[in-house]
Amino acid sequence: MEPTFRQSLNWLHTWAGVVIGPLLFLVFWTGTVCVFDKEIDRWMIPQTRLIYDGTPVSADRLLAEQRKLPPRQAPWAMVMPNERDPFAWIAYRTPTGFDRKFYDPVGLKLLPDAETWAATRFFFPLHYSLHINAWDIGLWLVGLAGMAMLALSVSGVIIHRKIFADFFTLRRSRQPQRALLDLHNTAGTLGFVFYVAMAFSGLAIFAATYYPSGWMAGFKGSQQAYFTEAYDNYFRPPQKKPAAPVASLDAMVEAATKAWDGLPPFMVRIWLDGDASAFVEVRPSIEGDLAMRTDPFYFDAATGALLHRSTTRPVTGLQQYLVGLHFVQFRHWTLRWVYFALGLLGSLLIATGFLFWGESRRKAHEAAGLGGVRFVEGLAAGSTAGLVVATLAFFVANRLLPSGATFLGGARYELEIWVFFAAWLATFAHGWLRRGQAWIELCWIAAALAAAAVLLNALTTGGHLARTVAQGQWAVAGMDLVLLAGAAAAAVTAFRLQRRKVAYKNGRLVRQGHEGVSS
Amino acid sequence: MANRTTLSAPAGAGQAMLRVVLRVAAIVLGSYAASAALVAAATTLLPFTGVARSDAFTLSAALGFLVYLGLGLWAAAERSLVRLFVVLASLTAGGAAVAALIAGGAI
Repeated sequence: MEPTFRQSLNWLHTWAGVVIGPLLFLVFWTGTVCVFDKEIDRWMIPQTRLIYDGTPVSADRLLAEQRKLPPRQAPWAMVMPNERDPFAWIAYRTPTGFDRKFYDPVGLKLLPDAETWAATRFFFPLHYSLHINAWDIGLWLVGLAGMAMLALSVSGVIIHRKIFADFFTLRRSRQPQRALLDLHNTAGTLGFVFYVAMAFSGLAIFAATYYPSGWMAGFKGSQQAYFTEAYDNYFRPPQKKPAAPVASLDAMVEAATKAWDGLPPFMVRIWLDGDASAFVEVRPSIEGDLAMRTDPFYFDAATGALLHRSTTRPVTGLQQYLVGLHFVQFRHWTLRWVYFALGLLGSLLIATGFLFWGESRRKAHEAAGLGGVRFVEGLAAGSTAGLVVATLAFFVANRLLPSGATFLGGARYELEIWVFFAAWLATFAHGWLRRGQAWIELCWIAAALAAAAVLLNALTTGGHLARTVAQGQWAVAGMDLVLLAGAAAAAVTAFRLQRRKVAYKNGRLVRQGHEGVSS
Repeated sequence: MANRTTLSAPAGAGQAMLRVVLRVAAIVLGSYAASAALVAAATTLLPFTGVARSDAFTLSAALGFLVYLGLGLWAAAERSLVRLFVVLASLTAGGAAVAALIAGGAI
């Protein structure tokens, strides 16, 4: 393409970065947010701000609670509490999707429904499917972003010959273009392994979606047949006859726990509930291991007899390591913070790369009268800082909307999502209208929203920092502290950008004055 | 005129644009098609070495992303568009043929 291999990859790096940049930032930012998805859920769903002391919850008692709910379509599942999700919950399918009922882990009292999608149902699906479910378009777009991330990482290394020199080169340059490139290179080298690992493991999770050619050839066109063999899933057909009462679930859980060397259960699922073929699937907790192993036990619901124990195949086990690496469901707070920090660094990498494109072309394009830079600058402001602002607006909306609120037919949880997208769209318009000022103003808005979120949390739930820290509510306290740190960082950035702008203007005025004298 | 397929060669703007479009199509679509065909071929071939079918696909698909990456980077750098399309088309056709023959029970 270009005269040399390196120049060709530079071309690829530049254009793939500019075209995929906004999508890539969205995926990286939401992924970073989801490192603390459960903690954000606690903050956004105040009725679940509980503390779980580790006492096992009786599956039989949960079943009794489930029987009080209106009849549901099978299968349905009960999920056991843990440190990050300190409540038991029952998940069932509805005609329109799926729903959850929360129970406090001690008395199994039914908690009020969540009137928000919070992080686990809004940011998490946004991260992997963009909430575009038709024909899996969202999944494919995110997959494209993942491949682009791999290509950008590899091409980035190849085009930077002085990679180890760059590692130590962070010049505090006054020239924005140079400073952006230094920041981009430093963020790129520091987190390189993480970005590649996340992009690759993310792709591997949806391998069966991205490479249908494989299971079409190997499994006669049946994706289900592949999953059944890979995960050693068990199923038996319904008999269309009424079921005998369910035997003791606790006894089944105990048998499975013993076989897992004491690993607590994560989930108990009843398949074909109400049919004579009903059976129970028990899965172990995934908190203790990096690999996201499922390894379920299957029991006959009526007799409690063991029907099947799944064993993981060697390569599936490898796949589960990749999945576990990406999902971060293991219990390790230090590692979780490292994921969060590297995620922020990756977001910075993408944002600075994007901005560098504009900065390095601004003068030439302005001289040539091209509008491309202006367009990309607005796009950059909206798709990076704007997304951060939208995220914060989502949190603020969560604390401001009253319970049961509806507007134009939208339920409360939908209103929060509308606020998110409306705020995001507004930042694009802002970026195009207030060119030059957009970044400074977006930083001030982000700082104000983050501080407002903390304040509103204290006012609406009483969970201010002094109380949450004293009570050991680290999910809520941590969220507040990160919001405050973010507010401070945004304010400092806004202040410095403003000062630099003034200094730059004065400098230019001085230079112009000087030229005026000399001419 | 050794560089007839590079953008720097003297050519009309329309022709240059067409070359960029073909280049991008080769990187994004052509490399994917070739990797997908090779994944299908590997999924059907690996079981002959004693690997379970599901493991064969899980492994092939994971490696498929790396093949896609390698082909995509090469597609950005290869000077001759003709050679690029010949190689990508051969890999796609070859992989698909192997997979179809084995899956169809011909081998």
